[in-house]
Amino acid sequence: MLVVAALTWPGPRTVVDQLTGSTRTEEGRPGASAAGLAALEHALRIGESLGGKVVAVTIGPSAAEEMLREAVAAGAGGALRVDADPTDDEAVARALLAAVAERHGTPDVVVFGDDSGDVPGFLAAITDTAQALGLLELTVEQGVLNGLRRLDKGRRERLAIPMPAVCSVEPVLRPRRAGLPAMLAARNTTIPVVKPVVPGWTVRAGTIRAYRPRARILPIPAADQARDRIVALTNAVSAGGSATVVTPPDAAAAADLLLDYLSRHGYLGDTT
Amino acid sequence: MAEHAGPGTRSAVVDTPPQREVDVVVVGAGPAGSAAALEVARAGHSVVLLERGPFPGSKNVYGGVVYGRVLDELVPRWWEQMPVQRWVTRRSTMIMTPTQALTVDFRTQAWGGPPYNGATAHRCDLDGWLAGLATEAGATLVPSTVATGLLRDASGAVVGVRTDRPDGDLTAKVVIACDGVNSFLAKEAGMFVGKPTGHVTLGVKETLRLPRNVIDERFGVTGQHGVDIEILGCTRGIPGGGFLYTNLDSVSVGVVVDPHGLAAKKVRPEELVAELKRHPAIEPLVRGGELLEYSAHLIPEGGYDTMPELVTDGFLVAGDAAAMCLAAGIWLEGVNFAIGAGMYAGRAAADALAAKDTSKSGLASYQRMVDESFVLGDHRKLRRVPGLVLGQRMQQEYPAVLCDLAQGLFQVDNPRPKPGLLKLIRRVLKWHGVKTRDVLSDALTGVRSFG
Ligand SMILES: Cc1cc2nc3c(=O)[nH]c(=O)nc-3n(C[C@H](O)[C@H](O)[C@H](O)COP(=O)(O)OP(=O)(O)OC[C@H]3O[C@@H](n4cnc5c(N)ncnc54)[C@H](O)[C@@H]3O)c2cc1C
Repeated sequence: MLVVAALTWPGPRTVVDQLTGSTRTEEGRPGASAAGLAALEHALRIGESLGGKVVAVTIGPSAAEEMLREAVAAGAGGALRVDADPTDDEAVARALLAAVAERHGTPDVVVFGDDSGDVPGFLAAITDTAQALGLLELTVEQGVLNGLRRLDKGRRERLAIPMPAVCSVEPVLRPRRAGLPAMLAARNTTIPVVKPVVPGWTVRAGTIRAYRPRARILPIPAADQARDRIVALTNAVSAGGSATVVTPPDAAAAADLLLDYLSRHGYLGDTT
Repeated sequence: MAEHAGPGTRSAVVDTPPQREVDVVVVGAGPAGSAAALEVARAGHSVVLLERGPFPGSKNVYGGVVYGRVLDELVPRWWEQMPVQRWVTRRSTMIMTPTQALTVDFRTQAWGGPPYNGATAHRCDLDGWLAGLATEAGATLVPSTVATGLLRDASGAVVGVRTDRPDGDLTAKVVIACDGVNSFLAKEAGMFVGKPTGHVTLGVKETLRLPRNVIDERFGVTGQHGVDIEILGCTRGIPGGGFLYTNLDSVSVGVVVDPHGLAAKKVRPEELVAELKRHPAIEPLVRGGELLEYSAHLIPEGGYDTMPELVTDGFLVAGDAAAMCLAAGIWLEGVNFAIGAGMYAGRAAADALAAKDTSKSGLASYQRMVDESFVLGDHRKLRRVPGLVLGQRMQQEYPAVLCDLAQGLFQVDNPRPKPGLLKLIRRVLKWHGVKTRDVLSDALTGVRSFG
């Protein structure tokens, strides 16, 4: 049984000046967030109940090892720093998975804080496991994972979560306080670092170029005034306007219509 | 006598274990604590540095200027490593009334190159750097851990600390209290017994973000050069003063005031900062600044006469915990004094460990080292200054007298002829009800104190 506590390292964040709208980058405060700490506490409890090993994992710079040492002091059986610079949440999920698999094998339960964006969702999708996100409670009863989640209008939903599972928790549980001897021992713990080879992306984006429609040479309309020639060229004040109402049956048909329209008007000349 | 504020805890008495867990425990990873831990670790002894914040500097506040020369002894070419915002090459002393300001402005390029003089730095950077030096040398930093009391043996000697963690007792041969102003540990050890109470001021500060080029233009500096402005007369007569410092892309502006004065006048400290920011001499400098941080902290400003005992069996006190901050009007220096005291405390602990005598007499070299250095030397020399600077005349009357004198001197009242200087002085003193005798007596105290 392998339980993973996935802690988010607070990287730089964008701050918007509310008066001027100008933006700047600010370094995040080092250390686990409240939600991350709650995830660790849940992972430790699950590990205790199910008799499994708990590993604390984060993707981050060497400064993040401090946070992992505290997790080890609190009772995690291992820690792992993933040295990667993923560009999106799917890549984060893949990097985490690859790193954990390399060192410890396939996890049975992964617990995130609820501030982990879409990473838990991607991880569940990639590994084809159950996901239970934004949980208020995550407990083990008679060997079964149980979750409690908020619903609209103050109602709650109880979930029996099959394993393997990916969960995320709200920061409602306060983490346990590591004992001083454990803190002292953890200070000298070397945190293993994994640089995972992340499998290829599912979507490949090309380089972005500004759209430049191909120039078309039109005959000069026959009119004396410049204004009239522009009106004729742009068809700006014609009675029917240029709107066309279409009602395609599905998205694919809508895309075909759009492509057809664009190529009829010469906008896709470059690609044909 | 009023009690020193703080918990009335009694130390836990423990059976002295034959083997202490570590040689030295340093409480507080501020400048004093990190310097102490660095010296102990460099001498090859085991040392644990306890910090209540999640990382060094997370709990700390200061105006922003640190004088680094004390580091010469600890870190060769420290200026190449220290996380500096700007090197102070312009130092102004401003005396103001609500509508006037008289500034003595000093600038030197000499302070813009090694070995420099003052530098602005953020505490989380500076404290993190200093603590990093200590851990690189072998100290063990334990964050998010509060020392809640002392452990003593049956004879009363300090043999460790109790922390707020489970199984949190840590025995040590020497405990160095660097836990800052209002040190609970120093009080618990009885170091303040018989010392006067109430000598703290309250420092409040805003950090305002401004673009770097705007700061350069407004303060007349370039590159990494910066400005330190100390201000008198900006606290509505409440004993204290103000400051304005430039960081790279922010400025720190704030006041340091007597909390009793605030209470008596029913003024909130942030009102004073807001007023200072609106002053015609300050407003153009901070205009449009975006508030990044508001912080407040106590400063032990009583100086030499309010310092506690520094040494007892197994126990040393350094930095603000020992009231070593020099807050004498135009000087507000605490970090350098804390680093100096911490360094000497660490050295004394290492010497005592080497000599296998950590009793009061074994640790006495700390008292000698601080006595012979600037740490107590400057404090002894300037012991009368806090009283002078925070006195009523200096706070309420002299700023107005000096500003009116300057105004009288530079105002052209034609067709009236210019007044003679002595006549002008007499007239201004009379306006403000200040007696020549008092001026002379204060001048004499000033000469004696500063001289
Ligand atoms: C508003 C203001 C402006 C100032 N301006 C300047 C200036 O411009 N230049 C200058 O040189 N000085 C300035 N000072 C003074 C300076 O900040 C202090 O003198 C200096 O920080 C003292 O260092 P220290 O290490 O003794 O204490 P601190 O810096 O206070 O460090 C004490 C450390 O101990 C920790 N701690 C406390 N209790 C415990 C505990 N029980 N267990 C574990 N950890 C504990 C704290 O979290 C802290 O990290 C200013 C102070 C203020 C408040």
